Amino acid sequence: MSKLERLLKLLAVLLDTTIPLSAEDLRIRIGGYPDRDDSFRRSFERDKDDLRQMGVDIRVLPVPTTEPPIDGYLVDQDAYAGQDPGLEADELAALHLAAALVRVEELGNDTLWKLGGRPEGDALDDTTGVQVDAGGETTVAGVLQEAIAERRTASFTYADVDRVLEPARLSFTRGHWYVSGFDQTRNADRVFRLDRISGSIELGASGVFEARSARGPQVTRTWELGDEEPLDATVQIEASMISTAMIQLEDHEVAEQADGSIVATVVVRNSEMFRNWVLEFYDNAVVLGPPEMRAMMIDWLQRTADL
Amino acid sequence: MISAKERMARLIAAIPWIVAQDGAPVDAIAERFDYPRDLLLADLNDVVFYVGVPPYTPDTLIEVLIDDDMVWISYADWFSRPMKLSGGELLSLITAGETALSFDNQDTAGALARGLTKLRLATGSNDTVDVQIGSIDRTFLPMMRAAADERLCIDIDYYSFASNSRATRRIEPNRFFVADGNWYVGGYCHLAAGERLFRVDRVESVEPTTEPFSKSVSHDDGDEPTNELFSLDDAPRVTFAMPEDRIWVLDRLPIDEVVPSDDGRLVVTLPVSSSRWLEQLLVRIGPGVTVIDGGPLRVDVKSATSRVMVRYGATPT
Repeated sequence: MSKLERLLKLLAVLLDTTIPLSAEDLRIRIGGYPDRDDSFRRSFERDKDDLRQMGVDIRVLPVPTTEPPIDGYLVDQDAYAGQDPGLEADELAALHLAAALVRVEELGNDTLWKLGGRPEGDALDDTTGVQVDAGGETTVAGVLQEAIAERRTASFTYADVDRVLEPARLSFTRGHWYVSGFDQTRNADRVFRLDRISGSIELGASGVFEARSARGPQVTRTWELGDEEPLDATVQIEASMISTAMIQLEDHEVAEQADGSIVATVVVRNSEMFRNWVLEFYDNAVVLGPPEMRAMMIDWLQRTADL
Repeated sequence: MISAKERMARLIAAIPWIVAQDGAPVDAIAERFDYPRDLLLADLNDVVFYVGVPPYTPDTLIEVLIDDDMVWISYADWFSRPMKLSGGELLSLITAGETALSFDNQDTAGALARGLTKLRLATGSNDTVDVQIGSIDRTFLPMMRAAADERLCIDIDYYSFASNSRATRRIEPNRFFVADGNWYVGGYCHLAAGERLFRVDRVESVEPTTEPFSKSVSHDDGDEPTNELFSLDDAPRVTFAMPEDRIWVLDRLPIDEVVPSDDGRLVVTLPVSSSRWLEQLLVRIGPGVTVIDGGPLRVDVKSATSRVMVRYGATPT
C-alpha cells in the first residue's frame, strides 16, 4: 500500500470513529503497515506527525475500558472541517491575488486550496510583490486565535508574572502581534505583546468563560501598555519626522507650529516605552511637559553621558 | 516529484470541491489545485478509489468515476468538507489581504474586501482580529508599485534621517517590504548612485516620470523571497557594551554577535550604516552603554547625548 493511500485511510478512519482507537486497532483497520512491531511503530508515528503537520488535530484519549489506560486516537469532524465562507469566484480570486502579492509567514498554497483552490483565469504576471515581516509571531497568534474562537483561557508567563488570560482580541500593529483580554491574575483588562511572552502558552478547556470581555481593550501605543498612573505628556516633533510620528499619533489632536513642527499630548502609562519612542526621533523631538517627564528625560541623558 | 504528504494536502482539498461541484473537468481540478494532470489521474484511479473505512465494502469506499475528462466523486463523507484554516493561516491571509488593500492598484479591492469580510464572519474573527499595516499616504504605494511594474523611474522628495536633510531623488523602485509597521521601498537611487532603501513615511511626494529603468536588474517573480531587508554585508561594524536588561531596544535589528562581558554587560556587534542612526540607538539604550569599537564611524556617547540635551536647554555635566 502506498504511503498516500495509507495516510488517506488513516485520516478517514480517524474521522469516522467516535471512540478513540488504539494504535493496534488502527494497524488492523488500515492494513498496509509493516509486519514487524518496531517498524509499524515508526511508520505509525511518522504518519501521525505528517497529519499533524498538515494541521489535523489528532486527539489522544484513553481507549474505553482499558486498565491501565491505553492511548487512543480520533479526529473530531467538527474540529477538522471549517465553516464554508461561501466565497464568490471573484472574491476567491482576489484573495489569491493578495496571497500571491504579499509574502507573509504561515501563508502557503495549501491555505488557499482549503478555500477551493485557484479559480480559472487567475494569473499574476510579472509584478512587484511585498513582503510583510511578522517576526515569526503568527504561529503563536494563531494558537490564541483558536483560543478566542473557542473561549479557552490562555496561561503564560509575561514580565516574570504567570498570567491566566481570557483572550478577546488579536491585533497586528507596527509589525507585532498583540493579544488583549481579561487578565484573571490582575483582575483587569490587559494587552500583551506576543514576542514578550516567555515559554509556551497553555490553553484551558473550551467555553470556560463568557464572552463578556469579547471586545477587550484595543491595542494602543507601547507607552500605553503599562500599570503606571496615567500621565499626560506633551511632545514636540520636528517637521521632518511628522509623517513617521503620525503613524502612532493618527487619532491624536496635534497642533501645528509656525516652524512646521507639531505638538501632541499623549497619555503615558509606561514611561520607559514613552522615552524610547521619543528618543527614536533623536534630536528631532523634545518632551515639553510635564516637568517630571522632562526631568526623567534629562536624567536619562545625563546618566547615559556619565559613563 | 510531489511527496505523498503534498499530494494528500491537495486531495483532501480537491475532493470536497469536486463533490460540491457535482463533478468537474480533470483540467480544471489540475489547474485549481496545482496538481499535474497525469499524477492527479493516477492518484484518483489507483489511490482514492481504494480509500474508505472497514469493512471496505463498496458502500464504505470512496467512489471515483472518470469519464470523458470529467471526474465525479461520491461516498466521500469523511472528506466532504475542506479542512479548516489553522489560526496562523487565517491571520496570515487576513494580513495579506489587508496589506494588498493598501498596496494594490485597487482593481479587485471590492472583491477582496468582501472576501475578507466573509472569511472573518465564517471564522468568528470579525470583531476579534485587527490588522494595521502601517499608516501612510495611500496614494504613494500604488503609484510606486505601478512604476515598478512598468519599470519607470519616479522622483521622490525624501527626508534622510542619516543626513538630517531633504532632497529630491530619482529612483527605480523594485522592492517593497513592511517591517515593524514601516513600509519600505527599495531600488536604485540615481542621486546616491547605488541601491538604497527608503522608508515610505519619510517620502513627502512622488512624481511619476517617463524615464525607463536603466540600472536595475530585471526582477523575477521566481526568485526565492528573501528575509533580508537589504544587504548589510558591506556596512561598517560597530561594537558596544550595554546592560543586559535593555537588550529589547535591539529588537529585530540584524545583530552579528552578542557575547557576555566580564562586567555583566553584553557586548554587541552589529552593522551600522550611519552615525546619526547609531547615535539615536545609543541614547535609547541609555545608561551603561559604551562604544568599544566604532569602526569608521566617529561616534561617542557623550556627544550623542549632548545633541538631545541641547533640546532641553541642558548640557552633560
